[in-house]
Amino acid sequence: MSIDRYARQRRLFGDEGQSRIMRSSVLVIGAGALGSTVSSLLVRAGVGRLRICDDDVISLHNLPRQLLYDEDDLSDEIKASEWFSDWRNIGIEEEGDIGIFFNRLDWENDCPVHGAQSCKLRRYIRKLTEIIDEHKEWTWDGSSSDTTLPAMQIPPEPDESDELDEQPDELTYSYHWVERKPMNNVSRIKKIQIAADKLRRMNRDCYVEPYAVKVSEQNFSSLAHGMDLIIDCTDDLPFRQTLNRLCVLSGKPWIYGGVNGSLAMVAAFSGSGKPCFSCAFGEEASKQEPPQVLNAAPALCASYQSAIALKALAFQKLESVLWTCDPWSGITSTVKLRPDPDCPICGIRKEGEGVSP
Amino acid sequence: MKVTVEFMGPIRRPWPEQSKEIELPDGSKVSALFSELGFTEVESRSINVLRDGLRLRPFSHLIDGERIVLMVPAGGG
Ligand SMILES: [Zn+2]
Ligand SMILES: [Zn+2]
Repeated sequence: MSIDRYARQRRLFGDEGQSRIMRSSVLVIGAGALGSTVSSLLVRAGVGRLRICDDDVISLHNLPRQLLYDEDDLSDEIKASEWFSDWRNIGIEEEGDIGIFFNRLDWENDCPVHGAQSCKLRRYIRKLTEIIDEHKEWTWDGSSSDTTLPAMQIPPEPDESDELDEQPDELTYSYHWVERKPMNNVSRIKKIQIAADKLRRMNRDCYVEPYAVKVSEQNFSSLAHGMDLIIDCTDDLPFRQTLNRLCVLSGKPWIYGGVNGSLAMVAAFSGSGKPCFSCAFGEEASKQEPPQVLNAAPALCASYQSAIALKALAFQKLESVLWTCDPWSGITSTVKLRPDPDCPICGIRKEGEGVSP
Repeated sequence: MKVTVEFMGPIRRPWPEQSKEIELPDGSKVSALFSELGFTEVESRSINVLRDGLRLRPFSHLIDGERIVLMVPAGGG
């Protein structure tokens, strides 16, 4: 008997639907918060070919929302760039703004921020700060790029045994990361390489094509070539206007997703190009400041995008629906979108074809 | 005339309810609704007004008893 990894899905999509999914090609634009979840769900569901584009690198502040990446991915990258190669950049803030950092904190090779959750490390850090207190000349105020410090005696790390049953001692110091400029001549790993590695591990049958590029009008037609569906996982509104225009012109169906705070918003546009993004949203979309984001919002948004993507691939039907959900307020709403006869984007083709309005 | 207004997306909400019926002078246009709700000229430009899924313009006339959606897209991702 052969093992069918898609047995549960076949009950939903049917054999034909599952086969269509497995023959399909999807372009995911962006490998951030939305792209992480969209690509994972599609690859796991058995999409035949997933092309994913992003030219960004992984930062520490991506981790709360971008589910494809974890601390292991940071280590190589950030050891080489955002903080020092051997955790030298842990700062200890004492009565104000003066950051003291020590030369080497080689503590189980672990990330000190993570480890500091335990009383063991809290006490350890406190012990270190006491030592540093005795060496005020090592105080670093952030102005110098010279990171070489005199050697200091690091006490042995405390016993594993006294970790659990003790409450943490009252902390007299707070500690924080000292921001460092990336070091020279270290090339930073593109997010997309890590994303592709992880996605390939999820499903060997999916052909994953990573592109470390920003999608633009110039490269769109080659990136969209051969793709059945495009999923927008970007984070700026003017780009969606551009993407809409390109999708209308090339007759590609696409799924918009956006988040703000705890709110997720999704809209789907079929290959007919009518209605299009501009029919619903106009063309005034200005660049928004990066909004505050609850990490559940992009996960929710991406789940909805993936669900309608799989439905579209399996049943070849993509309804033009605008959906929002805000779990914070508990409000969910859905609006069926209609083509705007005066839309300057999807109306262009109509005029070109000489059809009277 | 009375119009029921519903909000969608990251829009500044003048009240906590999801939707509300408001009273406007007969023959009011979308622009009158914006000022009634206290939206500035600049804010209004980024607000999309949908009637049954079709976008209205600031000069579109509202219909007594109708339900419309005021919507702003979410930009983050
Ligand atoms: Zn850690
Ligand atoms: Zn349109």
